[in-house]
Amino acid sequence: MNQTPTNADCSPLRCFEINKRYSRITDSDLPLQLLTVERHMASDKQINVEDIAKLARVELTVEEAAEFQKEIESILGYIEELSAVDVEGIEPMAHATAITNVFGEDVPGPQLDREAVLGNAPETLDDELIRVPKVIEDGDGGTH
Amino acid sequence: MADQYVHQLSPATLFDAAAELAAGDATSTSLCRQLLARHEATDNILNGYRQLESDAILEQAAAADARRSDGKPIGPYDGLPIAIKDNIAVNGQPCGCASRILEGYTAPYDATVVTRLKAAGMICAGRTNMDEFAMGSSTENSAYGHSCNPWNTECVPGGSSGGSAVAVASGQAFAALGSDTGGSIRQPASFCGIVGLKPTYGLVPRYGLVAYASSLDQIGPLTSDVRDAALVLDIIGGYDPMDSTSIPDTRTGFIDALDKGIEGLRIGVPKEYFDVDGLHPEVRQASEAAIRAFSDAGCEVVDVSLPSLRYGVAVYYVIATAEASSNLARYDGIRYGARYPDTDLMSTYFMTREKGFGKEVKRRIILGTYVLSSGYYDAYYLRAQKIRTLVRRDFAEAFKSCDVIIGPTSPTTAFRHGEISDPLQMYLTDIYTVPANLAGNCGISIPYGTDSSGLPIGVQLMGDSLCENNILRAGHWLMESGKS
Repeated sequence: MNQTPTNADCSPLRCFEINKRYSRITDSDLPLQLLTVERHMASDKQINVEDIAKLARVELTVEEAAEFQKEIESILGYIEELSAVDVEGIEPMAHATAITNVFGEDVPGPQLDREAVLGNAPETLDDELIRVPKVIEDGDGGTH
Repeated sequence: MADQYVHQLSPATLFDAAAELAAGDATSTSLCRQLLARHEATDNILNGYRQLESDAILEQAAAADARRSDGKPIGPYDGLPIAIKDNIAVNGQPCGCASRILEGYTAPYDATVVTRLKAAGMICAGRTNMDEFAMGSSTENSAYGHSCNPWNTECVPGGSSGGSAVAVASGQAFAALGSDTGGSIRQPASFCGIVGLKPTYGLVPRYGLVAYASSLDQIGPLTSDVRDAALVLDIIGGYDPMDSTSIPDTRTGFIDALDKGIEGLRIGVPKEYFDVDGLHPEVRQASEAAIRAFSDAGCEVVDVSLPSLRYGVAVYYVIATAEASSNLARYDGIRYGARYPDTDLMSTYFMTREKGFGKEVKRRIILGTYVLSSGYYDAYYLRAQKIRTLVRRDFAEAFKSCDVIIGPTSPTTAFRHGEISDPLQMYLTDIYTVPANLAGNCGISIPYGTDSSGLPIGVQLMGDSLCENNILRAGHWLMESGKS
């Protein structure tokens, strides 16, 4: 039996968790903003590795998650020393050259060999299309 | 000791091999056979190469020999082999980045550097082992087994271009290409007793280099001397319209600068480089001896300061992982590489990336995703980008009073396999090399003596942006002076 959420529980994240039980949505459908801000603000941990792994579409075993949690916390602890640096008025640097907005001429040129490119696809259809897993549900749960 | 694996081919360098080809004292076939024999004898232990196709190499060598005997060689380097790191595309060859997720992938085009090597007649022979997606400092993160240091097979060769360093140091290649995002050419060169050059960001085209951290990645040579490093840079360097970060109007001709000697070069010594905890005394002594050598030869030696050194590793691991988390989003099991199918699209992503990526790659993707995530972006990524500006300013200030900055390449000599298991401790070994990547400057590691257990020590020479001539001249002189 599901509990009716109390007011105190009625955060967007909580609602999402409840929705999840009754529908086909999964954690990976959780809006990024919601997950990172709310779950972390609520947690006393600096980072929740399992949540971040979901955002990055990386599955972790329980052992890996525990190991990474410890290691990444230690790395973040080290990175924390950056907060001591005075960066007032300093421009951020995105890359090392002063080059910006490089435009190519809009002219046709040689392209990659179609056969070679398709040859790298995990699954193809009629030698001219890349076959992908089903993206939109059709109601019967089929995969193709 | 296993140092029977340390070996130089004879002739020992591309430069000397080209001279023998020109004089008719060697053929491309004889040179390639020598290399293949060395490979046969050593690589089952060293694991420097992921793949070396002897038939294809000998076929190309025979073609080059035929051209030469017709009096029509493509150029002086026609028929000379060079090893290629497994993250640089060679048309028709696998390009796997030592990762399961690219299993079965065949590059459908040549990287610009490969196009240029081939245009010079060179044989792109063999793909070298590496840390998966160039993430690591020991080549222990390869999905295809670790590589061994030829000076002591119980030790790592460094990384991430460890296989390239092994191939050159063990006489399985005259020269090799690597890539350097935070030290991945210079540190393995240092551990294996060879020369490793990271060129200025934008000098060597990245088209066809599998992206790890795009604002830091740069291709460069690993060679047995500085002349070969200049020779390879002359071939691969220069503007490329296929790389929008390529610098226009760059000049090469680096090999001609070497004989200018070191007259007039001012050598800068950053005191912070020698104050680092964990700097091994013998490594410090080697750098100090090199500084004395320059001073004794009449170079002006000046003190410089790089106060941002202490933040380099932290800044690097924020920026590099952030860029990696974005760059590696393309490995989703859809268009190329391995696919581990599941019931739907989302599960296919998760499954493919779980099985395809190794631990260190996952760790960095997670860290990078975190530092870019809403609510943390300003505190980590934006702040790191600002401190990167400070790193660049430090170098600009230092290069007002010197031409070459000298220090160790790595705080230690090669460590043992499994010796460093904590990721943060591994990251800290990059302390001396990451600043040049953050600033976009050039740097070279020069072998300079050995420690008490016989392992090579590297000295790093760093130059300002597009000032490769200075570090190549200084490096060439330093290495030659160390021989006498």
